[in-house]
Amino acid sequence: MEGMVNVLANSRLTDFLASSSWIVPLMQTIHILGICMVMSASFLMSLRTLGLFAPNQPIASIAGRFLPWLWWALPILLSTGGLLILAEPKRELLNPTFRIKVVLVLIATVTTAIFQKRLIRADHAQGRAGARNIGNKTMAAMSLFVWIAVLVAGRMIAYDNNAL
Amino acid sequence: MIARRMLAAVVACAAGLAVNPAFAHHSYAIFDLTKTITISGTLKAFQWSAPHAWIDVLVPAADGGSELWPIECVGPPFMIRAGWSKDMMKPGDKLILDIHPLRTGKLGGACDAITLPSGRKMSLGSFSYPRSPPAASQDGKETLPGK
Repeated sequence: MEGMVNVLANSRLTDFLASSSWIVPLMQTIHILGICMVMSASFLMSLRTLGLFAPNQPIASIAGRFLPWLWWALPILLSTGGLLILAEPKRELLNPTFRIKVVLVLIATVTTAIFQKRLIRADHAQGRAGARNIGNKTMAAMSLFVWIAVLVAGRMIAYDNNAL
Repeated sequence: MIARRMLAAVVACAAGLAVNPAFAHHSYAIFDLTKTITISGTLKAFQWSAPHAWIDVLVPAADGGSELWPIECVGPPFMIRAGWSKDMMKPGDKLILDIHPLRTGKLGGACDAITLPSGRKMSLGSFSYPRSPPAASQDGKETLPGK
């Protein structure tokens, strides 16, 4: 792994990305916009399920409005994140906190997908009663918690340098 | 309706940006910018990366071994303007570094200037960290960026 990362770190692509004064800031900006989309959708879905947001609107309608934003944001985040990694391969790929973030993203994505299916099914079957389902509420809290954990892990990468 | 939704999305994103001013790099608070110390060692790796470049130096330790000091630099665009380049040093080079140490006392710091094996001193000068005093070259004169 370290050998491969070293080859990448010495590549012309990394040199080009790192030497540019605008590529990394632009990728960071788009990445932040993607984070806004994911977090907004996740918050609204989870808060609705917990009964803290738009309690009179069907869950399926909230999911239909906001979750597409989350699914569109993920490939944007993946591609801008990929370029940010290429601009500093060693600081990311060899970083334990970065690896934790990757695992958390996978857990959050799967949790959200299951949560979405469950909610839409429950909402069609039970109408508003779906929101009172304790299982759904647990999933809502879990989904929100894992996305926030992704955010925290992402921020902590900069502070994890083994020695730092 | 779509315009209203778009506006809501833009406002939400702007709110998100407002609470996220620093991204993928940390504040300078972890370094003691009032202190500058000098370390000597052998270059392990020069990471030409963004948003920060890194100089990993092996510094001889008291027990006869060596300790790894990861030294953070500003970003390569600033370093290029200060006359630095990716190829200015290579692993194995003996370096002298003026750094602002970590407040925690752990090994590491922020780079202010380095002296290459040729004796040439390269400062990050005005491109160094905020409130960092101008680095003096070996003959006592201030080193200007790019010189």
